[in-house]
Amino acid sequence: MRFDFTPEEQRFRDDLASFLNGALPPGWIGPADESRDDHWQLYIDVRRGLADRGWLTVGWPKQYGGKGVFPITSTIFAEQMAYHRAPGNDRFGTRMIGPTLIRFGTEDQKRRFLPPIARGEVQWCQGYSEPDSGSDLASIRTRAVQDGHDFIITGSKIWSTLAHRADWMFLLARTDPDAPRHKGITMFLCDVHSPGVSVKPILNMAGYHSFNEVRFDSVRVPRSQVVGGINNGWSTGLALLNFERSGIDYVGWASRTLDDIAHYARSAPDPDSSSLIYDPLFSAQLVDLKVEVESARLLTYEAAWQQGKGEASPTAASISKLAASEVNQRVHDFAVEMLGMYGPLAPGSDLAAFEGALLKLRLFYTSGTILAGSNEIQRNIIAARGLNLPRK
Amino acid sequence: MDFDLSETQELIASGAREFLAARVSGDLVRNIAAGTGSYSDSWWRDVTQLEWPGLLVPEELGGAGLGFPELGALLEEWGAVLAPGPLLETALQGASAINRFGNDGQLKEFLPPIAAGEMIVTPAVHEEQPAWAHISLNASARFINGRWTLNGEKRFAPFAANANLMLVSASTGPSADDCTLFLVRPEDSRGIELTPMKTAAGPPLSRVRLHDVQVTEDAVLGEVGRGQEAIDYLMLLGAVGRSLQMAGAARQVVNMTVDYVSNRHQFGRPVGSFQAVQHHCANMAVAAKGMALLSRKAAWTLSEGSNPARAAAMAKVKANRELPYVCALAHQCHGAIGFTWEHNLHLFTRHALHWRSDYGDTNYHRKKLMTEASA
Repeated sequence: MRFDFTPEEQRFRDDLASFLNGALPPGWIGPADESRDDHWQLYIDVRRGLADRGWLTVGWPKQYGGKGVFPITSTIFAEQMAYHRAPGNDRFGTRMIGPTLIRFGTEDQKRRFLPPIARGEVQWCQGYSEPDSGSDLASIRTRAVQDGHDFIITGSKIWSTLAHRADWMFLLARTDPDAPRHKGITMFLCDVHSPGVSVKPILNMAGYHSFNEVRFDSVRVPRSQVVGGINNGWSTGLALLNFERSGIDYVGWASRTLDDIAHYARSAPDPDSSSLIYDPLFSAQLVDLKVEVESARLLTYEAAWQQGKGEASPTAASISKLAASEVNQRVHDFAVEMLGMYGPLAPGSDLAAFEGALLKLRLFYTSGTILAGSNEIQRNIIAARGLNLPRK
Repeated sequence: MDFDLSETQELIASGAREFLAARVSGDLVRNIAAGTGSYSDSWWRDVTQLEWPGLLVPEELGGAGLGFPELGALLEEWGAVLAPGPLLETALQGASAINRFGNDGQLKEFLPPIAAGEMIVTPAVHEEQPAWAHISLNASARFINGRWTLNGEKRFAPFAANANLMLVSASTGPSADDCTLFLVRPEDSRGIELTPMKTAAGPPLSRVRLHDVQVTEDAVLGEVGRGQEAIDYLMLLGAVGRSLQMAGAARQVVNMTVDYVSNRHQFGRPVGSFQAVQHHCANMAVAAKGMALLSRKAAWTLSEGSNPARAAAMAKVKANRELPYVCALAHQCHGAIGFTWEHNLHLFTRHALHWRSDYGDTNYHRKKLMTEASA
C-alpha cells in the first residue's frame, strides 16, 4: 500500500503545472466561456500545446498517440487541468469517443479518427439526451434508417456541450424500432457540418452559452461511421458513459476553490478575530470540506487504479462521480457564502470577489449532479449492482 | 398557541397572491437579474395603490395600523414570486425605524407620505464591512454652523436609485459605537453619487458616495451618537423580513417542483412516482414548512413576544441554510431543463444566494445564538 505518486508521476504533474502556468494568461481566474472567441482561441492553443507534448491523450496506448500510462497519469492530467481551471481539456474526444474507438472501433476508424484527437486538431461533442429522453436514455427516438451504404438520421439531440464549436458528434440513434428498446440502438459518428444538421444555442443558468440543441433533418452518415456494430449501441454507449463518469474534474475544481478561499480568509478582516481564517465557525466548515474533497479524491484515484489492474468494479465510476460532484457543489456554495455580501456580486461588478468567477462556478456546477447520469441514477447503480439490493 | 393565520392575515395573503400572480412574471425578474431590465416605477405605483407600504404606519398618520405578522403574511407572498420592489425597505424597515426612533415632527413628516406610497425609503448603512459587524464607520458626519456635513462611502444600498429617503449611518465620534443615523433626502441634497453594483439577483444595489452632503439638525433619527441601536433594529427587521420572503420562495419552489415531477415522464411513468424523487420532494416540503413557522414566529415576536433578536436569528439561520438546499433539490428534480436560463428555477437559486448574505449571514446569527446558549 502507498498513497504517493511515483517520481515519474510527480514529474509529469509538475511539468504539466508549469506548462499551464505559462500557457494561461497571467492571473487567469477562469472559468473559460467557449462561446467567447478569445477564450475559444485559448482553448485551441492550450489543446495544441498539450498535444505537442503528448499529454492530451497521455493515457492512450502508444500506437494511437498516447504514452500508455493509463490510468493514474491520465487522472493526474485531468485533476491538474481542473485545478488550473484550464480550457483545452477535450474530454469528448480524449476521454469518451477516443477510448470507445480504441475498444470497439474498426481499424479504419482508429486510423481515421484517433490521430486528429491526439494531435489536438479536432473537437467532438456528444449526442445522447433528447428533449423527452434524459435519465431514460433507452427511450431515444432519433431515427437512423439504412439507405444503401448510408444511414439517414432524423431527430433532435439536446444538452450537447460545445456542439457550436464541434467538428464531429458521436450520437445514439434508433435503428430498429421494433426490437426491445435496448436492442435497436446504434452509435454513429457524424460530421457536424453535414447538410441537415442545425445547432441552436441554449443559454445556461450561469448566463452563458455552453450547450445546444442539435437537429438532424435527413442527415446522411456512411455505414463506415457506425461504432460497435448495428443495434449494439446500448452497450457501446454505456461503456462510453463509464469512461465519462469520473469525479476527477470535480476534485480538481473543488481543491482549487478551497485553496482560493483559504488564501482569501487569511487576509479577510473579521470582527471577532485577527482574520477570518481564525474564526472557528469558518475554519470548521473549511476543514470539513477539505476532508470530503480528499475522500472523493481517493475514491477517484482508487477507481482509476482498479481500472489499471483491469478489475474495475461496476460501481467505482459511479461512486467517484457521486462523491466528487456533490462535494464540489458544497465547496462552491460555501465559497460564495463565506465571501459575505461580496459573494453574490456578479462578473462585471468592480467590487465582486474573484471577479465574480466563484459565483459563476457556483451556478454552473448545479449541473454536476445532473449530467452524465444524474446522481439519483448513480445511487440506483450503487444500490443495485454494488450492494446487490433486491430489485423488487 | 394558534397556528392559523387571522382573518386579516388571510385576506392580505390571498389578495397578494392574486395581484402578484397577475403582475410578476419570470421575465420581469430574469431581466433584472441579467442587468437588462430595471425595476419599474409603474409597477411600484400599482403596489402603492394597494396601500401596502403603510401597513405598519399608525392609522392617525394615514396607515393601516397593522402589526408585523400582517406585513409578514404579505412578505411571504412577495418572496414567493421574487417580486422586485422596495417593500421590505420602505414598509418594514423605513416605517418601523422612523416610528420607533423618530420625534413627533419626523413621524408627521415621513410616515404619511410612506403610507400614501409617495416615499421610497432605503437604508444605506453598510460599508466595506456589513453594518451588523459593528466595525468603525469610515463615513463621517461633522457638525459645523448648525448643519451636519456627511462624507464617505456606503455600499450595498438597495433601490438607492429610486429612494426619496435614505437612512445613512455615519461616525460622529471616536469609538466604533459613536455613530448616528441621518435621514437624507437625495433630491434635496447635493453631493450624492450612486454607482450600481451588479448582483446575481435580488434588489438592485448601489454604492453611495457622499461628498460634503449637508443636512440640517432635524435629519438626525434618534439621538446623536446613539445610531447603533437604530442600525441594529434595521438589521433585525431586515432579518425577519428576508426570512419571510425566503420562506415564501421555498414554498413556491416546492410547488413548482411537485408540479414538474408530476408531469414529466421517464421510463413510462411520472418521475415523481420514483421514490428517490419523492424523498427529495418530502425533504423540500419539510424544510419549507419549518422556514415558514420560524419566520412567522419571528414576526409575531417583533409585535408581541420577547427577545425578537433570538427569534430572528433562528429564522435567518434556518432560511439561510434551507433555501439554497431546497433550490438544489429542486434542480435535482428538474434535471437539465432547470439548468437553463429560460427556466425560472435559477432565479430562486440566485435570490437565495443574495438573500442569504444580507441582514446577517449564517455565522453571524449562529454566533448570536451561541452567545445566548453559553450565557
